[in-house]
Amino acid sequence: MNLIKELQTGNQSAFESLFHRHKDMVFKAALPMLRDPQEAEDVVQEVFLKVHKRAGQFRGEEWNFRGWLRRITLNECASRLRRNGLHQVSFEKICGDGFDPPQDDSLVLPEKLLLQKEEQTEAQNLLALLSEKHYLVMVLRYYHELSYNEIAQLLEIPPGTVRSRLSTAIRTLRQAQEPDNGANEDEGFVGEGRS
Amino acid sequence: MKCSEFDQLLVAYLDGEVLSVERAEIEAHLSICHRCRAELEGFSVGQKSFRKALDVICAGADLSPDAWARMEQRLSGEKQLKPSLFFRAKLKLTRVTNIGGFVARQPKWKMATVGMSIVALIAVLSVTIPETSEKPGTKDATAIATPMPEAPPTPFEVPTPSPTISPASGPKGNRVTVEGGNITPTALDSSGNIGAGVVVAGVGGGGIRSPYSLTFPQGITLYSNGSLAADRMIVQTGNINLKVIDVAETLESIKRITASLGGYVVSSSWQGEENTNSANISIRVTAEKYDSATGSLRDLAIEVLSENTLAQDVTEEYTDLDAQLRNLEATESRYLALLEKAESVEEMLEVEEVLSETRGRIEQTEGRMQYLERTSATSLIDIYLAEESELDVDFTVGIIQAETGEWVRFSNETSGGSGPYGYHWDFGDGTTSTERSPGSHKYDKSGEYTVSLTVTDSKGNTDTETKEEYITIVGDGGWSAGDIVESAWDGIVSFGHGIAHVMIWVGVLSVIWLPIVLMVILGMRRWRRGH
Repeated sequence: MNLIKELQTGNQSAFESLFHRHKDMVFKAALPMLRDPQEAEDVVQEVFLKVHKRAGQFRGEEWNFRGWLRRITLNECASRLRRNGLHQVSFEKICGDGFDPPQDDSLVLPEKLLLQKEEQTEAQNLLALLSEKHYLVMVLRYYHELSYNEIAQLLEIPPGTVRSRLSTAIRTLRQAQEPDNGANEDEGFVGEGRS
Repeated sequence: MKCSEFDQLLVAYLDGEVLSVERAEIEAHLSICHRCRAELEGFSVGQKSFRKALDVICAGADLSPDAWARMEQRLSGEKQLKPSLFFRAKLKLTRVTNIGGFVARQPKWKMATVGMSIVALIAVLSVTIPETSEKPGTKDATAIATPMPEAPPTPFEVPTPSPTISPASGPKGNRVTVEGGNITPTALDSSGNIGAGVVVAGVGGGGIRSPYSLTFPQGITLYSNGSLAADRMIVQTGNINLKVIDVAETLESIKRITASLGGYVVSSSWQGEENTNSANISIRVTAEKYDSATGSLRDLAIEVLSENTLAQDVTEEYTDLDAQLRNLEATESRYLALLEKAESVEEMLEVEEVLSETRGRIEQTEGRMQYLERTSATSLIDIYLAEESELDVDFTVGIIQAETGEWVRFSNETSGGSGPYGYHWDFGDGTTSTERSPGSHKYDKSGEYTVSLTVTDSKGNTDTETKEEYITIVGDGGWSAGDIVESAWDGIVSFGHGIAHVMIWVGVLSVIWLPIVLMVILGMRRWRRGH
């Protein structure tokens, strides 16, 4: 069954199927970009609203529908980021800033949970070393696996800048991981140093 | 080339985002630079840890289950609002400009005046719609769209058949003026010729007006029949490994030669270690001077250890890029014209989206072309210098005191010079060897021997090391009466040691075993008496 064709002919249940099939992909694509689950949910809404409106413009099969969807998602994220301005890279909205007790999974042992939390904090500290403009090119390159040119177009920066930002970002991460200057030591400094 | 020049390229190289020309340069550099190779490995670790950290962070977050419910709400909201699009747009706009609150608070009799000012405001706002439409929810403001205020640049002129180009021929980088029409690019044929009235060069976007000037990255020749020929664009890189007498001096000479050829030193580094003195230097010279540069370099060396030249013809790539650029520029001007005709904001936004995409690609293409122009104009030569150290002969021996007939192992520790080497050992007992490290020489008579080694290298340099009375040979190791007495005595001593050990243990442990033995004896007696 071709859901896209169905939707193009005005079948509303086809839209619902499409929504359920791809909503998580859109959410997971938007989340690292925006670092805010609430806003990522808004993006899901916006993106599918656009799909609903522009379904007629789509030519092709469902497998490249995902590509189309991802492009709309990333464009939406990029324009939101432009609107919001640059912020410090923080994941508090995703991970929470305290210790959350297990919600429903009572089988999770406390130690395991603590370990998870620790791992998460470590990951947060690492990524917080990057400024947002560096973080974004990293996400687009190594999470979304866009080419340098695609990144350049999306963020409206020259391709050369993509290169230099990625280079700087990777160097920053690499330096933080070297044993003699661990991320934990600079943590406080980085946290205060940026506003 | 200096490591720092590769700084930004290395990550791009890892990502497969470098041009083939750049790749060649990077790989050439990586083959000689340990530091950059190590860096490269570190980078892939950095990428992986980023990906992992992101996965860890995002693993727990999920879309809330009521997403579809919200979606349905949004959809039904859209449908209801559609008939009153104009009204909604007006509301949104007023909200944006903070008049909404003001309107709501006013008594009804003021509404009419306010309404009038809103209409006026909308008229003003509509001019800046592309900006306001960025804000949430105002994308439906299509009902009151007006054309873009800015006039688009002049579109392309229609090419005229025979433009004149002056001067008609010139070297690379020559500036020529084209009059009487446009010239458009086509691909070069295999011999590098391009069609009549056709030029390969970069022209900025936004339309062309005649007369205009072009700077040719390639040399061009305009023939009498009106055809133009372009030089091939070759990106040349060389790699030369030299053995020299004095590294520091040679470095200076290379710098002088480079300067005299009008080139420049890209980077130079010098490593002085205990016995090896070496340096890396990279220079760039104009492509025409490449051969004379490598020639002069060869003259500096005692020996050219290796040399290779990589020449890459990028004419095709450059021409393709140029054609691509023309297409993009044509597209851009077409869309600019379209933008003028756009009637709704939606249309305008769409056109602008394509325009900015096109602009991005134009800049990227121009960037690549400039890179090719730069690299083909000059050739990179990477030079590795290693000093030839003096021949220094030395040797050692496994044991300096041996018995007659015992194997003596000599090891050669000669350094410097250049191979292949010739060896001459004199063991001091009238025998000689030409082995590198004789491992099984035997001396037949006891005494002290003087050993000497002479080494001759391929250049005819020779050096000798002589060690006076180096090896002492004692009498042979056969049976003798003394040996037997010695070993018998050794046997008696070790037997005595054994007895002493047993006695000591028996004595020390008597505290434990004596009472046990006494108790056993007493017990036996009582038992006997009892029977």
